[in-house]
Amino acid sequence: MLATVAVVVIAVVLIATAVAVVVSDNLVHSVFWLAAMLITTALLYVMLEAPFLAAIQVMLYTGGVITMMLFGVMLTQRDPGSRVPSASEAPGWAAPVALGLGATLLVAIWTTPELAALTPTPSGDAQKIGHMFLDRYLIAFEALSVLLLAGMIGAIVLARKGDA
Amino acid sequence: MTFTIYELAAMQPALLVMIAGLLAVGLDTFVPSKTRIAHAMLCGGGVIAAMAALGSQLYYQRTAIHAFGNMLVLDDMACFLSLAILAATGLVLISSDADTTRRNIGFGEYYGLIMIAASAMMMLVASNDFMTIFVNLEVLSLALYVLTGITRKNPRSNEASVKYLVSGAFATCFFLMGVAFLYGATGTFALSGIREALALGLDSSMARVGLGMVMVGFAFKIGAVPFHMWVPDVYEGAPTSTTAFMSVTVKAAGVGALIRVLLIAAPMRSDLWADLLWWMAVATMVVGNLMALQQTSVKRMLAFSSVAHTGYALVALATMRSTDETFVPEAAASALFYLLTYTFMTLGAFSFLIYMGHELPGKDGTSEWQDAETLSDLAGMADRRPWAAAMMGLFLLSLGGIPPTAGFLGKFYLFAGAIERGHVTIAVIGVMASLVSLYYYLRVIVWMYMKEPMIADEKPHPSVAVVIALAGLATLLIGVMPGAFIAAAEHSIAVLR
Amino acid sequence: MTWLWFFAKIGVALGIIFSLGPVCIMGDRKISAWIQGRVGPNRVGPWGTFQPIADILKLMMKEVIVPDGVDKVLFLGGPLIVFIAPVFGYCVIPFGNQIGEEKLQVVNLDIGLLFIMSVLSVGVYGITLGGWASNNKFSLMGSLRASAQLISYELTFGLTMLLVVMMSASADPLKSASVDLSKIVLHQAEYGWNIFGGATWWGLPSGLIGFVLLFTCAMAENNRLPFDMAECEAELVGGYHTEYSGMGFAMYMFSEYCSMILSASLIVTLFLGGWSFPYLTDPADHSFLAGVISIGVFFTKICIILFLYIQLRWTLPRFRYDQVMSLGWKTFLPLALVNIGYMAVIGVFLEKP
Repeated sequence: MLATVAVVVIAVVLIATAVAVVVSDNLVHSVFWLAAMLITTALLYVMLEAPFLAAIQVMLYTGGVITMMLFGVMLTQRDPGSRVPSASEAPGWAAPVALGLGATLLVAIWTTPELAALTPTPSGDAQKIGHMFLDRYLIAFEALSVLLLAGMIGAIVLARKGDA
Repeated sequence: MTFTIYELAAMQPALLVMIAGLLAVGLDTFVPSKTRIAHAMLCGGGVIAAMAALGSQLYYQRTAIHAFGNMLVLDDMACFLSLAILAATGLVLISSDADTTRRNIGFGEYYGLIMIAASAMMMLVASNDFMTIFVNLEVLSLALYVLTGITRKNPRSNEASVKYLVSGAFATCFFLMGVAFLYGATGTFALSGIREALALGLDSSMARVGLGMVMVGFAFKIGAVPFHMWVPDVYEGAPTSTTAFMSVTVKAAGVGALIRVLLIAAPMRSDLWADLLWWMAVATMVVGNLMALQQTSVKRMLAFSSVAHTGYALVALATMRSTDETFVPEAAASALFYLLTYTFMTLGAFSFLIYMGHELPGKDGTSEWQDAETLSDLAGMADRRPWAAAMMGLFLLSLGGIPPTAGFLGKFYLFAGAIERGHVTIAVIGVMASLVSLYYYLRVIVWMYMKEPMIADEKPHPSVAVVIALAGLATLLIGVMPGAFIAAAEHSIAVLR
Repeated sequence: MTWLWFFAKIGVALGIIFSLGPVCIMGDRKISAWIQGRVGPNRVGPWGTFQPIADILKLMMKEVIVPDGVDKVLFLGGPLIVFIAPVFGYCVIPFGNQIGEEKLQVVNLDIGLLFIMSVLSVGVYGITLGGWASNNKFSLMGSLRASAQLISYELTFGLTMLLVVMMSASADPLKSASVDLSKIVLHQAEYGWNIFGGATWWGLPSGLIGFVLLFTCAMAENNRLPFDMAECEAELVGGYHTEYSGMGFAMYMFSEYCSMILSASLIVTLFLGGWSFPYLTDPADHSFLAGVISIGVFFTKICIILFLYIQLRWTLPRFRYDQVMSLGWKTFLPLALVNIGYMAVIGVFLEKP
């Protein structure tokens, strides 16, 4: 019961912060809302008994990614207080489409019976996750390092000084 | 789970390509010259080595290699599509020297990114698990975002890059959500596992929605209507060599992965996806062709035409389920064959635009390289560059589907198969759409042959001529003797189990 | 009973932070005076010992000035967030041996180390937020520098923690790695401190280098001299807290000392054997007296590290900003990588499977 209440509260906060990211007029505020959202997501992971994932989520996203985004925003904004209108140009049809999609997903989840037989029990154990990475999902794990490498090369190409 | 060194053979071709690309990045330190011949040679070596590895797999090994817990499988289809991707990559590499020196890109990273993208595509078509499919899809997209914006001082290129990034990220959301739903419904990422789960009757609405979202993700990546909005802007803004590269290779890789998902994960539940694909194919053909009609920029026209061609390829997938409810997986072979023909004719057409490029005076007195884009850039070129113009004519006729070119056979094989399986409506729509497309393809030929030249300072580069010649040769070769290629395509699908 | 223990443990953990905080402030001033040959504060109370209380009272009385043009919510929120990190981080530090069934640790998380890492990474926000919200160029510069420095040194910080995990794994009878802090301390108590290489002789160089790296990185993470790039009065007026006055400033200052204490505890826990000391503590002795002794040992160790911190602050010259960056990226990061590489490779060859 307590867990259900906690999950509901977390869900509400999660949605509220996510909406705040989108509707905020101030880029820096948006980024901070995003950080709040990611931390709330980590709480959700804790509720789902995946503390390892939660710690990694906070460490990587809040500690690394969002800080980088803050750098980007703070260093590129000419006027720190400037407003960035966030209203969509086509809210008229975007809202129904988004709501429709959300409703579809909700209905799909609601109408699906719970799985017990097929799904392996999720494990928040760091050791098991480590073994999975180097065993079952070895190739995807290694391919991720290529992803990071490609991202790094790309960032250097686009950002460095010089011609072209 | 223990892995053997033998399993590395499944990713050996992709690894060779990637290693060559990474070495090219490092080569910048040691070869500080302006020309990048050394890089191109190195990468070309990697491509040839990978082709050799694939060839030996096809002719000596023959049985598919299932590696790393069946996450990767190097079977005939993977080899077929990998060879097509490698051929396109090789051609782009040959002409890239023209581009890098003229635009002063001069980065070893340019080659590195092309090779990383190519290797990710090769891994993608060999991926047998949503985990690997997703990661490789992201690697290739990331490399292409950067390649699109690699001419950093060109605002159009920057805009295209950002557009591609944003819409690509959006598509990734759909794909990932779909995979998550499928996992939630079936409890596995493996394609074969999903098939087993569906066979057990786990086709809950969650699985259906998941499959639909995965298909939306794929549709974004290959540019099918209604998820094609980014295609014209990105293809037009990107440097033409990048456009040539991504327009052909991404389609081959994306459609290949889609075929594998459909045929391995959900073959006996074709009722779940066939109708969706049917509508998507029709919309893609119609919208692509109608939009292409209105373009005055040849580059943009080719971009819309590539959307239309995605639609043709999707026809084969949509008609795998015949009207009498039997499932004919062999139909996918026509999509593979079509992708092969499309590779060479589109690459050739875009290369011609690079070939006809000229210099524009820039703002600060320097000149800036500008590839041919509008019809007026190409006007009257038949007199001055008769051979190249003839080749361009060949590519355009092939794109329009005129015999004896490869494009004709591709379309014939495709629509004939669709009619055989009872799908007359979609075949008729497809043929009508190709008739419409002839108008705008022929318009370019008319401008080339019947107008007076409007520019006089085009600076063709010999290496691009080589690409055009090779692509033309391939287009004709496939058109005149398609038997071996069709057999290879059919064999690739036949062994796909 | 369980709840009682829980609150008692929270009391001890908070007690360590909040009692050591003012002591640190006092110590900072006294030791600096001593090093510089001055007298230092000596008016309030005997030998000036009530000085921190007077400071805090003064700061509480002062008006909290909110300048024009600042982002009010973020401006006031910054000091609060920066305070969270050290207090939260203290939840998982084992400050003593077991008493009966109760481990002397507020919560015993399996992911203790990762928890600390993630909490520390959230701490950056307080500084970034405050600096940006002040709407002042110097503050912004200061906060950007602080976060750049934090990110740069967090890498080495994390890699050194990985080293500790590896050492702890090699001490474990089952050879299984764990990021549980109480286990890490227990292994050190039984097999030897990590600074001396943990359970193995070949870990000695690794342990020493790791200790120096962690010590320096912790200093950098706390923005303490000689790494005070975020404040550096000479260039940036006061850095990210230029615009703060009264309690806002007090929170920033106090949280700096709190995170210093957290870092010291972490160093002690990871490299200096936590609450253990040869012949003084016995990991198997779960009596009340042994527990109190272990807390005392832990406390003493923290105080020694804190003294080192303060002494270094007043003896070393400041770095330039580019020097800080090149030290972090070009010296520490490779060194830490080589260090764990050595540990991993040697571990494979020398350790019995």
